[in-house]
Amino acid sequence: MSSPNNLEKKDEVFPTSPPSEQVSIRAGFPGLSRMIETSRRNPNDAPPWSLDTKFRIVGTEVPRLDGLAKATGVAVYPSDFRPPKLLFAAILRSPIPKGKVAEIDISKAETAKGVLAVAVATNKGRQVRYVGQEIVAVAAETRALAEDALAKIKVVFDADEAFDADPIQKAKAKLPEVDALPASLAEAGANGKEEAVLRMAFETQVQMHHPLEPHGVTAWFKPDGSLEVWASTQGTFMMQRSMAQAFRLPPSRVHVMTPVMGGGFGSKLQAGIEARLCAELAMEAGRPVHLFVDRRGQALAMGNRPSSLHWIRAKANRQGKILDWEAESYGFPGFAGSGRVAYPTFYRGVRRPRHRDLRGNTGAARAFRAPGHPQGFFAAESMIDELACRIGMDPLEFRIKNVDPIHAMQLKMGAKAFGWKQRFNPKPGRSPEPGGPLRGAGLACTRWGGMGGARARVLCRIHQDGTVEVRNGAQDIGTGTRTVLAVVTAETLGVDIKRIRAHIGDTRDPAGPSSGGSTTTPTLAPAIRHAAWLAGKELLDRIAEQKRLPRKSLSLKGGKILKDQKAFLSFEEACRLIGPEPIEAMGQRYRNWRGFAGGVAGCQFAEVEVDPETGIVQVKRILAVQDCGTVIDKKTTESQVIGAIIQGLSYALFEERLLDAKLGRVLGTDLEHYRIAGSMEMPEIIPILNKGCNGHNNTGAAGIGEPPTIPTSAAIANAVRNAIGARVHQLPLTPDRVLAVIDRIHGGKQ
Amino acid sequence: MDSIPPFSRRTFLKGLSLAPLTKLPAEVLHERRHAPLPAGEEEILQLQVDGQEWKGKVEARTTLLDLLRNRIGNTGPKEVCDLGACGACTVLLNGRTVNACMTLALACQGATVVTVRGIGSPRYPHPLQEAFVEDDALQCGFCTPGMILSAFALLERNANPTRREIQEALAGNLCRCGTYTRIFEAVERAAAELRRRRNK
Ligand code: FES
Ligand code: FES
Repeated sequence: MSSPNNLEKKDEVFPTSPPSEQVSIRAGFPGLSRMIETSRRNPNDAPPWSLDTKFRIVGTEVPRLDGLAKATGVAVYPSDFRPPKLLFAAILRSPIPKGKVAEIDISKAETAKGVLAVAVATNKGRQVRYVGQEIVAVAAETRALAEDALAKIKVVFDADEAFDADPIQKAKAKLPEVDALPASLAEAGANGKEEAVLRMAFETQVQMHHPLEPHGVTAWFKPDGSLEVWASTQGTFMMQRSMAQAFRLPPSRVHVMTPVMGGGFGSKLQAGIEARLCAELAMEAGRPVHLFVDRRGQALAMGNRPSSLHWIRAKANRQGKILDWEAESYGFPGFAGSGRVAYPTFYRGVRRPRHRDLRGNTGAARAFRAPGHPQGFFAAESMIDELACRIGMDPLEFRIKNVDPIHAMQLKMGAKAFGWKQRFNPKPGRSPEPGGPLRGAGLACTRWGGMGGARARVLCRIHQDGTVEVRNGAQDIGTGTRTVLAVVTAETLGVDIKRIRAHIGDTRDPAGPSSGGSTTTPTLAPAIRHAAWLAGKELLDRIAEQKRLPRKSLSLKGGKILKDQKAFLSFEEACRLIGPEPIEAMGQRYRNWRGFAGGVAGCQFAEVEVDPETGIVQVKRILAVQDCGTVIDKKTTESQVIGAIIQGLSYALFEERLLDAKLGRVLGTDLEHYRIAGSMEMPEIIPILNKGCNGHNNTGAAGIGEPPTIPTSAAIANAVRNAIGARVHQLPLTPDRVLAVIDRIHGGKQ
Repeated sequence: MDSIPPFSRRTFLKGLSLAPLTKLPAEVLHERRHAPLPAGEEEILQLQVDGQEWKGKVEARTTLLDLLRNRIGNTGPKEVCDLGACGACTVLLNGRTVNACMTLALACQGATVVTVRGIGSPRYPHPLQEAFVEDDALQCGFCTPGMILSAFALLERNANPTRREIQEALAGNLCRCGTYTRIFEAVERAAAELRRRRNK
C-alpha cells in the first residue's frame, strides 16, 4: 500500500507518472476516521484529497464569483432576457377542479389587438383535473395585450361535481386509534414509568415552493429551425432533452442557456408545460416569446410539498431503548406526483412507515428540498422526543443512546456549543416569571444522501496568457456552482483564483447534472479536479518538449514549475511557452468509491419562547452541526445551511396552503396571503460545518442544499413541547394550535 | 419633489371597483385585483432613470416596473409577485423606496428613478453591493436588488442603524433562499464602511 505522501504537503506536486495503482486515503472526520481504498477502479483519476490534505483555497472564504453581477443588477436572469422582437405570453387556467372542456373558442383572441399566436393546452374533450390547469396560452406584443386577449377566449366546461380536493379527511377516518391527549400538565409530563407505550398522530401541511423567479422560458426558433431557450431551470440538459423530444429535434439543435436563475427548490427539475407552450407560440409567431408564469399560476400549478398524515405506535423502556415501532403514513400529492415520506431510520428501532398516497383534485406535487423528509422527520422526531419525555430521560441523552457514532459525535458537539444543559427547561410548561414567556429547547437529527455520481464532464483550458478557463453546462440554483468550478481548479493547479474563468449554464458545454438531491457539487467537483489535473500534466509535457528536458525532471507545485525540485518557471512564463493553441483537457466523473459513510449526517438545536397569552412562538436561536464532506467554499456552504434552516423555520411556523375543499380552490395564491418567514422573524442562526472528507470521490465533497432543512421543523416543535409542556401534533405551529394545547393542559389559565 | 406619487396602482384599482370586494375569500379578491387593467390612452412620459433621460409614449395602465423592465430594458428591478407583496421590484422614486409594480408609470412624470444599477456597477460598486458579496448575503440573488435598495434608503436616513432597525427596514422584502441573517450583517458592514468614508 503506497502512501500518498505528496498529498500531505500544502501545495500539490504533480507526479511525473500516473498515481499508483492503489491509493488509500484517510476519510471521515477528525477524531473519527479510517483508511479507504480508492483508485483500483480508475487509475487515470486525479489523486484523491483526503482528511489530511492541507488546502490553499479549498475551505476558505472565497466570495461567490457572480455575486457582484447579481448585487449590481447586471446579471441577466432568464426572465430578464429581452431579445429583439420579443413577444409576451399569458396563460388561461381552469376555474374548475374536475371535468372536461366541452367547448373552446379562441377565434376572438386570435384576432385581438397585438396577438400573434395562440396555443391550446387542454383541447375540447380533454380532462381537467385541478383549478389552475393550463387551458390556453396567448402571445402578444405586450403582456397586457396577451391578458386582454385571454378575456376574449370562451371556454365551456363540463364540470364534474364528484371531486375530492382534500382527501386527508378520508385518511383521517381510517387512522387507527390514538391515545387521549393529556388534559393537564401533570398528565403530559407523566413519567417515571418502567415503559412508555404511545400511540400518536401527526399532520403536516402543503408547502408551496414560490421561488422568487417564476417558472418559465424565453424561446425562439432560429431560421435554421433550431430552438433557442433561456430557461429558469434546475436542469439545463434535462430541459434540452425534453424540448428536443417535444419538438422532434435532435438535442444538438436545442440550445439551453441558464447563466443565473432565481431559485427552484425542486420545482424546476422538469420542463413543465409552460416551456412547451412557449416554444409552440414562438414557432407559430416566428418570433421570440417570453412565458413566465404569474404568481397565481405558481401557487396553483408549479408544484408543492404535499401534506402528510402519520400514525405511530412506539414503546421505549426506562433505559432509553426503543422496543417497538410501528407506523402508518399517508401523503396527499394532488392529482399527480409523490407524497412519500422518509423516517430517520438511523435510530435503532425506528422503522419505515407503511405508506399510501391519496390523490386529489389539486395541483401536482413536485420535488421540494429533501422530498418527504421534513414531513417524516417531524412526525418521527416528535415521537422519539415524546418517548424520552415520558420515560423521564433527557431527549439529548435518549438520542445519543440510539444513533450511530457520527450522529452521536455531532450531538455531543452541538449540545456543547448550544449550551443544551442550560437551555433545556427542566420544568416544561412553567415560566420563571408568572405570566411570562415559556422557554424551551429542542433538537432533531438529519441524514441525506448527496454523494453525487451522475456522469459529468468538465473542460479545462489553459491559455497562453496564463488564464485558465473551466466549463460545464450545468446551472447554479443559488448554491455557488460557478465558484466551485473556480475553487477546485485553482486548488488543483495551485494558481491564484483570479486566473480562473468559470463558465456554466450553457448546453454547448460539457454535460453536467440537474441540481436535485444535493448532487451538483459532489458530481462536478471530481470532474473539475480531474480536468485541471490533466491540463496541468499536459502543461508539463509541453514545457518538456519546448525546453528539450526530460519530462521526469519537471513538476508543478504551488502554481510554479519546478525543475529537479527547484523553482524553474512561473505559471505565466510556462503558459507563454505553450503556443497559440490552448491546452485543453476533458475531466470526467468516475464512479463513487465506498466512502466513509453513506450520506451526510447532522443535527439541529432550537431555542424558543412561547407567549402563553397569544400562543405566538418566537424562535430565538438555531444551531446546526452539519456534515458537508470536504467544504469547497466556506461562505457559500454556510449560506446553504442558513438558507435551509430559514426555509425549515418558515415551514414550521408559517407556511400553509389553505384550501376551500368545497370549491376545490386554493386560497391565498399570492405572497400576501401565503405567509413566508421574513426579516422580523429571524433567530440567531449558527451553522457549524462538521468538516470531513467522505472518501467517495477524489475531492471528498458532498452536497449540502437539502440535509439541513430536514430537522428544523422537528427541532422547533420539540422546543415548543419543552416550553409549554405538551405537544402540538400539527404543522405549522400557528398561534391558535399552540394556544389550544396551552389552554387544554393549563385548564385555560397559566 | 420628495413625495409619494399622487396615485398608485392600488388606489387606481380601488377607484375601479375594489371597495365592495373586501369580504370575499382571498382567492376571488386576488383574481379581481389581478384582472388586467383596461387599456387606456397613451401619454408622453418623461423621466430620469439612473441618470439617463427617457421619453416615450406610455399607456395609462403601464406600471413603473413594466416600463423599466420591458421598455427601458433595466434588469435591476425584478418581477416576482406583481402585487406589492415581496419588494423585489423596489426602486427609489425621488429618493424614496416604492414597489415599482404598484406604481403607475404616468405617476412618475418628471421624476427621478434610481435602480440598483444606478447606485453602483461591478467596476465601482456601492459599499452595500460590496458587503453583500463579502458576507455572501445572496444565493440565487433574485431578491438582492430590492434588498439593497431598501437598505440603501435606510442608510440614507440612519447612518448607524441597530439590528432591529435593519430588520424593520427590510420587512417588506422577501427572500426565498433564506439569506436574511447574512443581509443584516452585510448592511451593518456597509454602514460602518460608509461612516468611515464620511469621517475621513
Ligand atoms: S414584484 Fe413588486 S412587490 Fe413583488
Ligand atoms: S437570494 Fe434567492 S430569493 Fe433571496
